[in-house]
Amino acid sequence: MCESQGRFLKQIRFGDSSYSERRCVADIISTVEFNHSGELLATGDKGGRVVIFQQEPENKSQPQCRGEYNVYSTFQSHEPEFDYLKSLEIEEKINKIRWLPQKNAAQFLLSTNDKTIKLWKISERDKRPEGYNLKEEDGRYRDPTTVTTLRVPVFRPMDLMVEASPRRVFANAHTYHINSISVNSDYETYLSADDLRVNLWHLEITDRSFSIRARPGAVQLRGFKPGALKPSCDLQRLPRKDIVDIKPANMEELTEVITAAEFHPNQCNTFVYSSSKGTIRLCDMRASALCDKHSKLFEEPEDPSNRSFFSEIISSISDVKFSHNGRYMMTRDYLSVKIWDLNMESRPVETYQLCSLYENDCIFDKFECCWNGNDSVVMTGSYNNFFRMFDRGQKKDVTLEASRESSKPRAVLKPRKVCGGGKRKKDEISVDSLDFNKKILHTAWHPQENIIAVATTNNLYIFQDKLNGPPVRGGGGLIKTNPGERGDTTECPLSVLSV
Amino acid sequence: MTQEKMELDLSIPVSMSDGNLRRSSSAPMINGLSDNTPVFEGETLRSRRNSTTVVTRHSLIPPSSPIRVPSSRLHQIKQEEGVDVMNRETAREREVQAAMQMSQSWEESLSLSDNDLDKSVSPKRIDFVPVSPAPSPTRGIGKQCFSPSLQIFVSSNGLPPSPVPSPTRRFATRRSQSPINCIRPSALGPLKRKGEMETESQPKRLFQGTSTMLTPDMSHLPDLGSCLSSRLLDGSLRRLGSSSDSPASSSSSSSSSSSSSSQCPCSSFSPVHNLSPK
Repeated sequence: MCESQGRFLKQIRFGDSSYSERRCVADIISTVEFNHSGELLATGDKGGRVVIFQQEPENKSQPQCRGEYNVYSTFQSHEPEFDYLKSLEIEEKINKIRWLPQKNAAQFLLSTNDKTIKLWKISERDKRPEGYNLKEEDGRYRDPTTVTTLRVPVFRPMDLMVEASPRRVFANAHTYHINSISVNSDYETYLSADDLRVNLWHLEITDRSFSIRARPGAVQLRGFKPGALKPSCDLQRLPRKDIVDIKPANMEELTEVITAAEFHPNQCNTFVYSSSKGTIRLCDMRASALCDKHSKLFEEPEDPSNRSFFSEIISSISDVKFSHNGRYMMTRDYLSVKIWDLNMESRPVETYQLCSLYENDCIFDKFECCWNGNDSVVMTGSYNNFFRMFDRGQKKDVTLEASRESSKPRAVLKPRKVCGGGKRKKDEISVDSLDFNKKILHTAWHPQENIIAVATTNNLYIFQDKLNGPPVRGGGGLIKTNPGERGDTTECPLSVLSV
Repeated sequence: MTQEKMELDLSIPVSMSDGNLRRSSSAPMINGLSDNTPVFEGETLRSRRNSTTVVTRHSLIPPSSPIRVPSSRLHQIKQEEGVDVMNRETAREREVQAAMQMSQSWEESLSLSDNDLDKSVSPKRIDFVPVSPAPSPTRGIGKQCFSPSLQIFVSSNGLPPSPVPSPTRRFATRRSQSPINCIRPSALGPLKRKGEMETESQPKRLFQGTSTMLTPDMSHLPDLGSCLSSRLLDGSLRRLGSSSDSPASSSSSSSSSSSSSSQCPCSSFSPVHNLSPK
């Protein structure tokens, strides 16, 4: 039994230091996501670009070191647009990226800005035809009079080229700003959520969105295997194009907005959406075609003694994520991370407090959170380029920092500690000296290994742990390897875990 | 009495969502809660609403460092939707005019040279071209090919891109050649539109004798290209027409107003820089 958080060593930092000093706005990373195998890591930025990193195959001579991530592909996903009717600019910032599971040689991902979702196909080409009769190699057409012989073009190897092409564009379906997309476990449909509505899409159909209706007479929807062509339930076109609509008839009565939404990892009829009031609603698409009425409402009663002027704002949930096993979900609000059992709506089963003080201007920051592969550890970002991990089993947590100065490559990250007022011990950071402009909003955890991606404003950090435990699947734990096998790395200091 | 007081205390967080809370010193800087004045007063056509929670407030500061006032998404939506369309259009007209008026007075007070076209960079310029090192791909985004080994974009046949400049660059510059640049107050008589708001009473004093009115402060309008609503265009044309002191217009305003509609507006105008200021 051994946990590896706290033992991360820095592997790679992406992002040019000169850029971070110049504060190029377009380079601000706005989303980070591993694909299903963890081999690829996609990032989206404020300039509408997607950069994909690929993990190098493991080095046989150094089995302890998992492959490094290098830039594999980059493309412009969204461009700024202008809404003529409302005289509003539509930002090209990528709000979310979600990968589809791989079915063939190509990879597919969904990327979205405020208004438009796009399905991108990423494919490799390592051969190209050469020897055309009518064209030169660079594409220019040859003078027909110079063609004297006929030849058959042949495919010759070339440098690997990664091609990104837009396959579907799902547009004009959202009046408000899209904050979430989530691929269903049927791998045929996905949802997109904006501030007031949730839409259900079929990946093949771009001109309309759907509601779900169970087949008449069916007691239960059939589940089906990924990759099957038939959806498990009929998609019906109903007069309304969304499956959730919380817009009131009179906008004066609007009291909350949708902040995040996600499909259940293995129940294709279930999804949740969170609100700015701190509630989470679970909806079952079998119950009715339109899911305005929730099946479950998760809400923790407010502690009246804690109420303050900011209570409502800081209770807003910025992210909701199901655990991989589908039994729990995690929510992130401004001050804490909460873990809910899907069978208990009255209160969360675990609460991890992050801090108790906050800056006025920063209380609208939206932090994300993520689970590790076996749901034993959760992670979220904070200020001063700190990020935190909570080990649910061992009831331990650690604060780490992502910065050039604090860690050299291959060095173990040193845990940080923030002290509230009072006496500050050596190496501790006082709350007053936290830099609230340096925030880690986006983090991602490899689905199987202990590799994490942490995005500061302009830079991406990838950390992996020193131990080379076997890949973690399902409920397996990590096994500590014999220290002698690790080559030049030092012995794992258990004191690193102390809080 | 005591009961009333208690209710008041408890209702403060609730009423915040109604948007009726007065701004107090301990409150976070939630935009617009204290009054209903348009948030973008004094701001030019930078009407960008970010999907995050920040709202740009001040326009005369260059866009690279706007004063950003955070506000909740709930509040933003209520503000955008709460005002009915007519009032919103009125508010927009007011914003635009106030901005033009401000930039007008700004230019007048600051300009030292006669040739205002020297000022090629306007701080209010909206730049659609992404600020990034990567070359902008063709408009109407299509296939993009990247070579991991060379770490550069390549064309779809695998070769590095030719040095021909990207066609989008050409389009981007062409968009700024909107006819509004060429429009001068001289050839257009006063135009009136049906149903025009109280802007009809726009005082002539704003544009009196301003042959240099079409300075680069107007150049940011063409950056939006075809995005300008026709009402804005007509409104500005009308205001241009109301200025009768412009040297070139005095003799021909009445006669040209009827004929201007039959010919291309651009052809009867001379570029601004040919005018000598009074």
